[in-house]
Amino acid sequence: MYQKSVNGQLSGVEALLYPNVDWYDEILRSSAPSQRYNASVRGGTKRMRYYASLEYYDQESLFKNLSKDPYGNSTSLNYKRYGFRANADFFLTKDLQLSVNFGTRFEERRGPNSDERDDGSYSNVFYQLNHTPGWLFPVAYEVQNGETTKTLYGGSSQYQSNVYATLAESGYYKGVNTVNETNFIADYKMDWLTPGLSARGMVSFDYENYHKTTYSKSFATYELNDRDNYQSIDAYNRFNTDGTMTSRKTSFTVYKLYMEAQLNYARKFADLHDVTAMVLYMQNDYRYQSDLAKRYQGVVGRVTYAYDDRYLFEFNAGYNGSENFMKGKRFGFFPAFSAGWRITQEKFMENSTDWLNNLKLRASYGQVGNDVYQVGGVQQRFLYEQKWSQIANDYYFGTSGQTGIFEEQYPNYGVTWERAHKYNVGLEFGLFNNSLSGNIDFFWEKRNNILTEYLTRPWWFGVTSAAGNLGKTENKGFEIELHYSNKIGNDFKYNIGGTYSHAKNKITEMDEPANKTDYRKRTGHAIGQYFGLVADGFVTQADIDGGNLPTSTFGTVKPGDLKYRDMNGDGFIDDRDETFIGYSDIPENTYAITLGAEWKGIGFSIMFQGVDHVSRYYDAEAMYAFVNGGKVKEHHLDRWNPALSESENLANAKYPLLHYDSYGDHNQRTNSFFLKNGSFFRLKNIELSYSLPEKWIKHAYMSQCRFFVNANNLVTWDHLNGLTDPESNGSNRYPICKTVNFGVNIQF
Amino acid sequence: MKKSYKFLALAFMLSGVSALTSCGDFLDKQPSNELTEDKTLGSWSMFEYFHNDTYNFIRHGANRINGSWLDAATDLAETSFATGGARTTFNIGNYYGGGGTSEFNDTWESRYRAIRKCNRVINQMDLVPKDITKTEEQELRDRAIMRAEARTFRAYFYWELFLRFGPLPIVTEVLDPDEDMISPYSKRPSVREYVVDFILKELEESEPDLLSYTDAWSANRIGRLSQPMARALASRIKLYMASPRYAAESGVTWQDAADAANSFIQDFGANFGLFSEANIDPAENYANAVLRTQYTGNNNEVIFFRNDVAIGWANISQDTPVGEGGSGGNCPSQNLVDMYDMIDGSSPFAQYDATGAPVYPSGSLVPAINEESGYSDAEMWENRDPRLRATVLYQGTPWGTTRDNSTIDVRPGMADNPTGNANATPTGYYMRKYIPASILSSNHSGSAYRLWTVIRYAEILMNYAEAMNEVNGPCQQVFDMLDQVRHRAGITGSVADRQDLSSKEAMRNFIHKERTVEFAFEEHRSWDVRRWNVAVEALSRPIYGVNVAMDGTVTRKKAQDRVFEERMYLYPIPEGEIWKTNLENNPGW
Repeated sequence: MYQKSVNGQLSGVEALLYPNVDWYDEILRSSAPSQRYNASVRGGTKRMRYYASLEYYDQESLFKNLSKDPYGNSTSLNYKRYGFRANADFFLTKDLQLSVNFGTRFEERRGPNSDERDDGSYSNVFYQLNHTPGWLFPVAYEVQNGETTKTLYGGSSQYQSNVYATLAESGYYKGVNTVNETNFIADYKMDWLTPGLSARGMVSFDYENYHKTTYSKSFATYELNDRDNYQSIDAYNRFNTDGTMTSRKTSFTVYKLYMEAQLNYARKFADLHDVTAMVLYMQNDYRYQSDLAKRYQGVVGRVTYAYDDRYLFEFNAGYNGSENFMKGKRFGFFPAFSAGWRITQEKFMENSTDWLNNLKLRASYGQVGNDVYQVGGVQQRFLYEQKWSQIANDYYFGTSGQTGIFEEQYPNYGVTWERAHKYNVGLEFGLFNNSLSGNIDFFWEKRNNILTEYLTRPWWFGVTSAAGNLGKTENKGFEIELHYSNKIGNDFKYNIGGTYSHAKNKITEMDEPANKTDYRKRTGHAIGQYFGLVADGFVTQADIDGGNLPTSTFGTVKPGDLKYRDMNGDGFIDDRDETFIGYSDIPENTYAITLGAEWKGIGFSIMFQGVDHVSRYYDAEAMYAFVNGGKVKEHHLDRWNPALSESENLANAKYPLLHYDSYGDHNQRTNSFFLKNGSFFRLKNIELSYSLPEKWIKHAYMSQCRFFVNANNLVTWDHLNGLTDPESNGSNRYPICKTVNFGVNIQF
Repeated sequence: MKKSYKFLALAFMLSGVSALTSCGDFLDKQPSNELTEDKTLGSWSMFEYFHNDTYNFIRHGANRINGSWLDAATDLAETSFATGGARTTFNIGNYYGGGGTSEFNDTWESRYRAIRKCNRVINQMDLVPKDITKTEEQELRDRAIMRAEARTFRAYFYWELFLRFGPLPIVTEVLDPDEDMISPYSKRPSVREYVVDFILKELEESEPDLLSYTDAWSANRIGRLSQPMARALASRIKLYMASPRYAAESGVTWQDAADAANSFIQDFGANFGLFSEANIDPAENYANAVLRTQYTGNNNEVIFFRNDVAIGWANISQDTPVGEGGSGGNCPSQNLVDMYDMIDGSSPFAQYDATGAPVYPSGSLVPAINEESGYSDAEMWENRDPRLRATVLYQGTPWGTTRDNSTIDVRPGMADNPTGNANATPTGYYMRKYIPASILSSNHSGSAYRLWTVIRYAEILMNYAEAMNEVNGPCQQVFDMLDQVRHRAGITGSVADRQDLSSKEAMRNFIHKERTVEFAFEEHRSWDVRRWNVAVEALSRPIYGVNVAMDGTVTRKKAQDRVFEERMYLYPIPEGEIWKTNLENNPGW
């Protein structure tokens, strides 16, 4: 019956009972348009300079607009932005300049009444698309309801929601975000005090206000129960009810106040000694709603000295304070030094200046601090504070609830800044009139005092500890950048560029107990290194009969399941057999290639990007079968098929035995079989443009008119066989799209 | 013009500099309402809240181990769903598996957390200022009560650790991470030092200061520790210490254990009794002994329990039959069913062993039948001890609201044994004890209390019987105790009339059986088989069950093989703790 359904040979009640629904086709369209318009004007007089711009941006989404709302409210995701900016610089005197920058934008978001996160981390519509089988129920049934027909959305007792109905009937939301950014800047040249001195002050005030109204309505779904009466509503089981629309509002406000004061000095003495200096004080106050403010405060200084443009020295220092540490440990001093030698400026290089334009050797050492410590995406603040909690109705004596207090976390009074020590040596060069130029850099970074969990405190201490400055990591690598540009004749210009970087990091310390089993220690491996079970192929009947197969604690093992390696030899496969597999999810090598050309107003550029030496573990919906009662994917066709012989399966199977529900737990663990090689090479951007020649446009008072067409993410080469996008972060979210843009820039 | 601008600029700079100096406090955290240690020790009422939270560390046994009950790790039951913690760890012999974390690791971690709390109450109580609204006398009394409660709790938590891991480092101070937390505690004490010299001594010393029965059983205090609880716990501990496994090391004799149980009966016997309402089916009386609460249900049997709010379908659905919409869960085994006597007091089988179970001849699933009892395997549930039908749901039992005829039907393909359902019972039985039937009414919308009984009066009687038998052999006191428990359960005959219990050893096996049957699923079996030194025999015996054919014929079957080795008498010390502290692991691990 299902074969006929797939072939489209069914009609009437049979088509309703054996449907073949492609939910992706029903919900998504193949492309989503977007448009953007931007106009700006700038100018000035002797006393004033101004810049103003307007922007309108409209981005639609891949969802079809299925909304049946009587007032025409769409449930397709939509983002519109109206932006306005005005900057003005006032030259009050020849020394004093005052700038006022003012920017506002309104962002309007619309969408369906389902959990579509604004940060893109989850989309409920895509979750339902991933989990609704296509053979279960049709999108909707039509029944007679007196004189008219009524639409009944399909459903079943196990899948009571219907993603089509979610977009059609369930409601919508509208959210407006207003963002104001204001800066006041004063620049004051203080040459009257000493030549080269200037001062600057800035106050920046940002205000963001978000209001969202969600209109929601419940809807009923139906399952056909009586095939003989399928035209009547009585033949259907109903789940849930059709409700009336209700609304709820959420809103939040964010406010940020930033202040900065700066003194600058720049002067050249005797045409030989070029000195600059800078001192800056800043403080930042960030408030979300009426939560506790997040504050930063710091002083930064810099001094540079260049001798004869040949020997360059720079010294920076930051003195930053963070609220997350106790008084006395709040401030950290972070110095940095660098030196450079422009070899081409030396006398002995004079003969080679015709082919060697620029050769510079540089080295630097610096320290950077970090105070942000996150657990599960939530920042942990004030780690030096005791943390006790109180709960009402914690326990009952009889029927009366008692309040309870408990010690939640033992503080770390000495918590302080994480420090990164960075060393860098580099060579910069330019040859043949700077047509070939490039950089080579070698870097080494050591981080210590990293905030991480205490792992060596015994449990009889009796309370969880706050994080400590215990971690140390190391990162080293190199980076090469090359660029070549030239022209053929007078009209044809071209350029080629490439970058390649390699970085390998390692955790040198993270408070792991020394006696921990070696293959389970994370110390000594890269940050983000994957850990999991090692899969050594498939289990065969001979393995099971042989009696030596380790017992799996995840389920009964059958031929075709994955054979895991018993790392500790205890006869069991459990999470104690996990070890490091593959690489980490941070690529070791990244590279990019750009090509560009220009001929008589026609411009062309192309950029490729790739990564290498990286492993990715894509989420359950991408790889496993029947996740949470979901579906199977095309690559599951290559599974170990119990209907075939074992030797056929051993030769051809690319996926282990399929299971449903908890029996599948044995295969669906983090293991080396499902760990994918995440390297890819992608055509990131390609653009073709045409600038109208000047003699045509100057009649229309234009100074530039340029048409362009570009595309992003057009082609990708990867090792995944179409499984998913290699840069994807999860299946249940709005996907990464290819985009094609065309537009025009006009300047008057 | 220029001059005024100059002054403006100078003023701007100066104000910037002064702003800098006054901003030293910019990064101070603004005061907020968060709790600190000083606030908690700052007033008696806050300190009381802190102490009351200790009660939360009493654990409820239902679905405690990733959905399994602890008794599913014994020969009494099997968890039907494959992810049940007992199935993925205990049953296959893996004492490190993730499914058993709540038993292997969390027990250690949470008990020591509770012990830290008790240590703080005991050691830092003097820092708490006096409550001026109370009289001096009341103040002293309240402090003594709280200190005694903390000491009793601490002893109880150390006891829980002992059952699983053996003697562990005894921490009696609030530890400070800036000091050495490992070397003072790296040597494990002996059994005697740990149980007799510490736990029993703590219980004995703190008992006089605890609330008396009358005080503790007043309406707004029900659930608090009391003198009966400390005495009852001491009786249990002494019985365990007198048992074969610990007797040599502990120096506690059976007479000591008998005295401890007897002292409870003398001092508190008037306050407690076996829960029994008149004109009620005795099976229901037995079931209500653990389900009825003290405050609304007049339950006079429970001595100490974990109090909770009333529960609904969501809490029992894991252990109800699949035909009712549940997940099967804790399914009793034939091993347990075979342990029940007949309703007239005689035994269905001829021979029983020290594990309490009948002797299964090798190669046969049926033990030798005692003809006089009238038992037959074809009608194995007829005329049995009413506790059987109060504990186990078997074929044909009326139960529930959603199936046809509302009876349990485990025939192949029927409501409670559908084909291909992974959660259907593997043994042919479902659990009835500890499932309040009233929750199933009105489409599963009912609610009922299901508190976890830590100690009840029946245990004191059984403790006394077991100890007296070891001291004097089968004597009148032993018969009395056993009869009280059995008659409440609805058995008509008396133990004294039995012909086969004249020797101490036969009576011992009988008492082992009675104890197992009375306290099935109350987390006694695991520790009882260990202290009787019969754990390997009992826990490596396969789990038996029954198949019921479409015509009603009952055939026995083997449901599951079990793994249990000598080293599993104690759990291994959690490996993380071994790495951190180099503590000596338990033998064989």
